[in-house]
Amino acid sequence: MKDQEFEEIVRQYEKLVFTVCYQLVRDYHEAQNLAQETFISAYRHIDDYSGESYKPWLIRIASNKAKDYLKSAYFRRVDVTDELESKVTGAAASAEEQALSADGAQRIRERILSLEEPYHKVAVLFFLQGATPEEISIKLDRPRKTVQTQLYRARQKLQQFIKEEMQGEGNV
Amino acid sequence: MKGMFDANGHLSDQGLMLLISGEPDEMTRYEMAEHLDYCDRCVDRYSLLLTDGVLLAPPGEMAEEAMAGIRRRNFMVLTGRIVKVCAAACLTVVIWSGQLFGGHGFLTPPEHPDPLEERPSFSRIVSGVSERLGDWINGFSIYGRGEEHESE
Repeated sequence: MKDQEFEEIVRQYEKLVFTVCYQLVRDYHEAQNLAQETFISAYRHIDDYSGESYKPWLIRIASNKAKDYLKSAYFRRVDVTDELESKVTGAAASAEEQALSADGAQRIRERILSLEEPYHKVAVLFFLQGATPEEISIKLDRPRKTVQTQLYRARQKLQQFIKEEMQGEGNV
Repeated sequence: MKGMFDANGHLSDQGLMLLISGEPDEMTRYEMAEHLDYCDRCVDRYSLLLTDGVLLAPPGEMAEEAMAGIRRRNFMVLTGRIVKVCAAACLTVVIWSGQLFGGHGFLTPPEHPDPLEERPSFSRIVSGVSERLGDWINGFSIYGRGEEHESE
């Protein structure tokens, strides 16, 4: 495809791509950068694309760019938070084990069952049924990497729950 | 944020509407972007909701900036290829001239002369043989030089 033809596509879909990026990241400047990155990625792969309409394809690329941006922002914040928490509470990682040893397994099980999507199914399959991320990926038709990050976050939610439980018990 | 996903793990109608109106928090938006990244069905549903009425105009000249970014990238790719070709060419010359491994290359003469070169070349041997052969034949000739002189 010639550059001129691609420029026409950019002009046609610039509002769409910018809107998707903005709705996902809620930052005008970042949305502009991500929209540009979306078009650069699209330019690289446009000859491989065989679909009928560019609209869903561009939305998907824009979502991917927004996801990567939000993921890096999220992990930056979580890392800092974890560092602060570990300084305050000491060995935070052992909270789960302590809860289990304190006969909290049933409550954790209930908590897993009460998790909402997109964590509910992956958590049930992984923590309660012992499925591997590969098996979950196939069963739920989700990318393996997505399953792994969802499991990571489900685990964080459970750890948070356990900490709150322990703090509640400590106060009583 | 609750109600963004349905029981099957897909984005709910309510979730998509809230995404457009800008209510989900950052974590929920990340989860939604992650889902849209792989789910064709939800991308199609989201796509139908993105009508002209909800589309936002990007600040600045998006098309010009995007094309400038593409041209920059193309330039970088081209420059990278040229550098690789040059590096490969230089490496080939270095290996060819034998500098890299310290041995005798094809272009540099060896420090010690090859003993084989002291032998006479094939052409020299052939010409030497033909001279002797000529003399020998002349020796048997009826019209040898001596006889010719005698006849004169």
